[in-house]
Amino acid sequence: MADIMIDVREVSRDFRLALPPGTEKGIRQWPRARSDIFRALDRVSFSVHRGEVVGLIGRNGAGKSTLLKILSRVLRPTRGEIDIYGRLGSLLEVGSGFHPDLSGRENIYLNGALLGMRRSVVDGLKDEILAFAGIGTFADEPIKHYSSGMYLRLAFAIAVHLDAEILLLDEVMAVGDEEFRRKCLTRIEEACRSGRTVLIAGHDLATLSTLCQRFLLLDYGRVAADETPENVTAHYLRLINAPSDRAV
Amino acid sequence: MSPTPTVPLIRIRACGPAQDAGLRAVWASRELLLSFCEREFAVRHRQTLLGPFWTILQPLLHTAVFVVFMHNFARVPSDGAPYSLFAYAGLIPWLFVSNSVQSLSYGLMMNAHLVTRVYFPRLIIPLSMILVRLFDFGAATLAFFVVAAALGVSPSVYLFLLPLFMLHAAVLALAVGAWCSCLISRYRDFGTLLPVVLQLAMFGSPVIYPSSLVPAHLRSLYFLNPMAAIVEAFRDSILGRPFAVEPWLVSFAITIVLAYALIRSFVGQEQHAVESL
Repeated sequence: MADIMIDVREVSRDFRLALPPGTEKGIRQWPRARSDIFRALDRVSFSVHRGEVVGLIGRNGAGKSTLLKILSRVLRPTRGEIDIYGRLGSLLEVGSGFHPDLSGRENIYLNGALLGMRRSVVDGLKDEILAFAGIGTFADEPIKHYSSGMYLRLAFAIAVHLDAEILLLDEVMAVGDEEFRRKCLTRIEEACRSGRTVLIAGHDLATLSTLCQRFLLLDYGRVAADETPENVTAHYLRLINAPSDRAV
Repeated sequence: MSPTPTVPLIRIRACGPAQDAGLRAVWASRELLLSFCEREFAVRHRQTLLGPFWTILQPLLHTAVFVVFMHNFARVPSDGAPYSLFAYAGLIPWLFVSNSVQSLSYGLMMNAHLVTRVYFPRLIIPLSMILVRLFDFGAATLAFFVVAAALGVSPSVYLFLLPLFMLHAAVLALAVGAWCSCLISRYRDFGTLLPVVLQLAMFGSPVIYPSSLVPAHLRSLYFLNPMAAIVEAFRDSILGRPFAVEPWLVSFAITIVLAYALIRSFVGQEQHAVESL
């Protein structure tokens, strides 16, 4: 097997829950009352090799987003270690690096820089990005005047032009109309085939299984299955049809 | 594709500061710093009527207030210079530091939509803010020279040290502002407390009164406030008066130690602060 790009070892993440109503809050509760802990990730271990496209699936609250946030270093693990062997670009939420007062063109530079693109690279790509997004005459308009569709298209256009070796994507397939969606999927397929390492979280199993060679199923913060899309899909369907075994 | 390095590019650990959050990481991300500065610069005067003129107008308006109350009513001395110029020259560095600390301390919160979604060295946020404000500081200082020249006051031979004093003020404001931004992200209480502390600091610095009013036995204590010597040195050099080196050197040493400690603390707790946003 090819070289390891992402190596996740025994990663756990706890969140402190809000205190129940009626308990004393603020300085009066200090230092005694401690709130309950919710374990969003529980000793998760896996590794991803170069060129692999892995689908991250699981029910709502299974820990998919927490895992992606930890990998993109927005959150820290409570325990465990991760090594990443490559430049990483993450798109956790569409348009997250946008400033409403800047124009579309200016935002391409800001967003590109945030995602780790060199300015010289953005110079060469900006026309292609604008064309891909279909922004047309609105390129120099502050993006707070954009329609939500234009906003999403621009964000996604920047993301698919990223030159990162490792891509983290979360639910990004759900943007725009059918035509733009198809265009994005083609672009993602290209990225997947170009030897990039991709980790995609989502719920659209049909689309994901056309893209990925491997599914990682999270359930209650643990890795419940990690193999081919067909086998994991069957496992997942059993899970969601089974009566809930734990109160959330 | 480049071959996989044997040493990971990114290590994620549960504790300790992020692997790349300090000044070296900021240098590696200097293009992002530039983008942030551009953004800061482009949006700072959006939706204002007077735009960049506020940089010049704000110290003038403050000066007018203090001329009326401190000079006309309270008869505060001004070491021989016209009180209006005296206060104006003190208010320019003071307002730079005070405004900067105020806005930097909300830097992480204002960028919550970014820092909770993308990783980059967070130090870039306060750094870009202070760089843009340093530009305004320069503009306000130039405006002062115009006013002073019109009143027939020429600067001293220490004028060449002015950029150093400005940089000194900027380092102090950066460190304090960055550190406060971590604190305020976690406990909003400090957002309410900060203006009070800043006001106290203004009265603890020779902004609207000369340091010669401070009793001799308290002077060494007084100059432990690094802002005191910055304001004094800045004013002396643009008003053409002899400049006292010793208090400034003490202030410079204090600033370096303080800045080192506060920036280190920022880098150590930025991730924690971001998670509480």
